[in-house]
Amino acid sequence: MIDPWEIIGRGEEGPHIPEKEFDMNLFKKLASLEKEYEIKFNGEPLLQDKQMINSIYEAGLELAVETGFYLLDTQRRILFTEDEIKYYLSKSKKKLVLGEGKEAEELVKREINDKKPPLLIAGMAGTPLPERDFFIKSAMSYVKEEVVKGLDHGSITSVEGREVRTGSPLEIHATRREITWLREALQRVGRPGLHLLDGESSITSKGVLSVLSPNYLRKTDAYFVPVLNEMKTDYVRLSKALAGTEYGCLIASLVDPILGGYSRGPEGTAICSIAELILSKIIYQANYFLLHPSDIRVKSTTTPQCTWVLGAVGQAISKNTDLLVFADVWVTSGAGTETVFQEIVPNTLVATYSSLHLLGPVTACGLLPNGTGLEARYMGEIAETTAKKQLKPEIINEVASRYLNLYINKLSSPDLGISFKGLYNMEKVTPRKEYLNTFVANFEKFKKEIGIHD
Amino acid sequence: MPPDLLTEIKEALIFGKYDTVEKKVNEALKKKVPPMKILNEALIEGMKEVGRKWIDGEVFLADVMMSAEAMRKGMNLIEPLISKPGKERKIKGKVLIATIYTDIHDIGKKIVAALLQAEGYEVIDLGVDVPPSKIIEEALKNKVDLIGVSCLLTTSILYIKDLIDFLSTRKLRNKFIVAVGGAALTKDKSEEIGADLYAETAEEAIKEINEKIKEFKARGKEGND
Ligand code: B12
Repeated sequence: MIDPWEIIGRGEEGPHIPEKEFDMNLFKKLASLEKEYEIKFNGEPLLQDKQMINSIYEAGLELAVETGFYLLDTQRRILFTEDEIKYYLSKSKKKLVLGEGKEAEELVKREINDKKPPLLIAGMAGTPLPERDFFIKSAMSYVKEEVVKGLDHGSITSVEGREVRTGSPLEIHATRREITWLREALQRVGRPGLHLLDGESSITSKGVLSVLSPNYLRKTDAYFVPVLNEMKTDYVRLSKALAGTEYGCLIASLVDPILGGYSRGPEGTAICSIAELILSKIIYQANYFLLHPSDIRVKSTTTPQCTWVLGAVGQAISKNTDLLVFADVWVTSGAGTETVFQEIVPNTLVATYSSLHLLGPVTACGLLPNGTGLEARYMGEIAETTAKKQLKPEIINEVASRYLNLYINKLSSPDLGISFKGLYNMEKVTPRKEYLNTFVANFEKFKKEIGIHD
Repeated sequence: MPPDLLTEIKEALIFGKYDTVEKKVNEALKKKVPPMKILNEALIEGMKEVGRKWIDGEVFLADVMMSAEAMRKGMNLIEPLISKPGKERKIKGKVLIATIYTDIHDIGKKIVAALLQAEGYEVIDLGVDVPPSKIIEEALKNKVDLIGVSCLLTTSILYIKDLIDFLSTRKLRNKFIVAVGGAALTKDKSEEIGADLYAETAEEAIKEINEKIKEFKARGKEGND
C-alpha cells in the first residue's frame, strides 16, 4: 500500500499543465492509442477477440503511465511509473468481505465466464427520495431480495421540512439521517449486517466525513469516490478517499467515463476506463470499483456501445489484474414498465460473462424515485442463471442483440414508469400483483430466450 | 488563392486541428485577407458545421472541444483587428454560462456553450461551482444578454433561486434573460424559481435561446425609444 502522503506529495510536486492543455493532450492520445492498438467496436455487444481484449489493457496502461491523474486544485499531474503501477496492482486482494455478522459476504475475483455468480449491490443509487417512510420502505424492498448482497440507496434532500442546500450544515444532518434510516431498513428486514455503499446525501465531503463512525457507516461498509471526467481528481475527492482509508471502511472508486464525451467513442472509453481503474486503485486506495460507462446523450449504460465497453473492460481487467470490479448498470426506463425488464438484460449478460460483479439496476437513470427491489431480483436472477449455465459468448451476443433491438429506439424518450409507492404495497413492502406478474412473464421469456424450457 | 486558404482554415477547424488553424489564420492575415472574411467565412462557418455534426451525432464532445479551441486560437488573432469602433463583428448576442455554486457537473454546460458559439453567440464560460454574486458581477461587467445556469444537483437548485432573488433585489432582473438547464431541473421547477427559460437538451436550448434573445432585443429597442 502506498502511503497517502506520497499521493498528496505527487499532487503538489508533479508537472504543471493548464487544464485545457491536459484535455487536448488526452483527446489526441486516446485517438492515437485507438489506432496504434487497432481497437475497434464491431457492433456486437460482447467483444470476443482475445487479442483486442489484451490490446485494450495495454493501451489503458500506457495512458495511465503517460497521463496520470490531473489534480484540479494544484493544476499538476499525479504520475506513476509503469513499474510502480504494476507493483501496486500485484498487491491487490482477490477477496474482500462486505458486510458483517451473518450477512458478511465474500467479494471474490471472478474469471471470464465464471460459474460463480456475480455479487449484486442494489438500490436507487443517489436518487433524491421523498420522506422517511418512502425512503425506508423502498430501501427495504431491495434488502428483502435474497439476491441482493449490499445496498446503495437514494439521497435525502430535506430535513425537518427544510430543503437541504449543498454544503450547508444540513448536509451533515441529511447524510447522518440517510445512514440511520438505511440501518433501520436493514434491521427491519432482519439483515442488520448487510453491506452499505452509501453516504449518497454527501455532495461535498462534509456529509461523508460526518458519518465515519461506527454509529453510522461501519468499517464493513463503503462509500464511493468518483474519478472526475476524464483522468482527473481534486482535493474534495482525495479528502474523501483519505478519510475513509484512515477510518478503515471500504472505498469504492467510481469510474464513469462519458461515452461520446471526453473519452471519445467506445474504443477510447474502454482505454480510458482501464487507466482510470488502475490509477484510482493507487490514488484512492480503492478496495473495489464501479465501472459506469454512460452515454452522453441517453445517460444510461444500456446502449450497444456502453454494453461493449463493460464487456471489453471487464475481460481485460480480469485477464490482467485482480481488481474487484462491478458493472454499474443504469437504465433509462423506470420501474413498472415492460422496457425496464428488457433494458436490464444486455448489460447483465455481458457483464456476468466478462467477470464483473453487479451494481444496480439504477432505474430512470437515477433521476426519479421509480425503482423497486423487483428489478434487482430480475437482474440478480438473470446473472445467476447466466453464470451457472456458463452461456457461450455467441449465445450472449445473440440474446443481447435481440433484447437491444427491443428497446434501442426508445432510449431517447424512455418510459419513466411509476414511483415505488405505486408498485408496492406500502404496509407489507411487497410488490403489487400486476407488477409481480410482469416480472414473472419477463423472467420466463428470458429463460426461453437462452434455451431453458421448464 | 484566399478562398482555398479559407477552406483550409475551415476544414482544419472542423477537424479540431487548432495549431493548423492558428498557422493558417496568420498566413491569411499576412496575405491581407480581411479579418472579417476569415472570421465569417472560415471560423464561424466551420463552427456551424461542427454544431451540425454534434447534433447529428457524428462527433464526440472531445472533437467539439478541439474545434472550439481552434476557434479560440483563431479569434485571438482576429479580435484585436476587428475590435476597433465601427468594425465590431456582428454577434447574435452575448451569453454568460456557468454551473451553479457547489455543483461541478460541466459536460452538459460545455455542450450548450459550444453550440451557442457555433450559432454565432459570444460565450463567456465561467466554469463550475460559481457563486451567484460572481455570476451577477461578471454578467454586468460583460454586458451580457443572457445568463445560462446549469445544475445537476437537486440540493444546489437553491443557489439558482438565490441568483434570481439577488437580481430582483438589486433591480437587475430585467437586464438579463435567465436560462436554466441540467438534469436536476424540470420545466416546473424552473418556473417555480422564476427562470425565464428552461430546456431539456442542448438542441432545445439553442432554439429557445434564439427566440428569447430576439424578443429581448426587440423589447430592449422599444424600451429605448
Ligand atoms: C457524469 C456524472 C458525474 C461526474 C461529472 C463530471 C463532469 N465533469 O461533469 C462526476 C463523477 C464528477 C459526478 C459527481 C457527482 N455526482 Co453526478 N452524475 C453524472 C451523470 C452520470 C451524468 C451527467 C452528465 O454529464 N450527463 C450528460 C450531459 C450531456 O447531460 P446534462 O448535464 O443533463 O446536460 C444536457 C441538458 O441537461 C442540457 N443542459 C445542461 N446544462 C444546461 C444549461 C442551460 C442553461 C440549458 C438551457 C440547458 C442545459 O443540455 C445538455 C445537453 O443536452 C448523472 C446522471 C444523470 N442522470 O444525469 C449523475 C448525477 C447528476 N450525479 C449525481 C450525484 C449525486 C453526484 C455526486 C454527489 C456523487 C457523490 N456522492 O460524490 C457528485 C457531485 C459532485 C459535485 N459537487 O457536483 C446525481 C444527482 C442527484 C440529484 N438530482 O441531486 C445524478 C443524477 C446521479 C445519481 N442519481 O446519483 N457526477
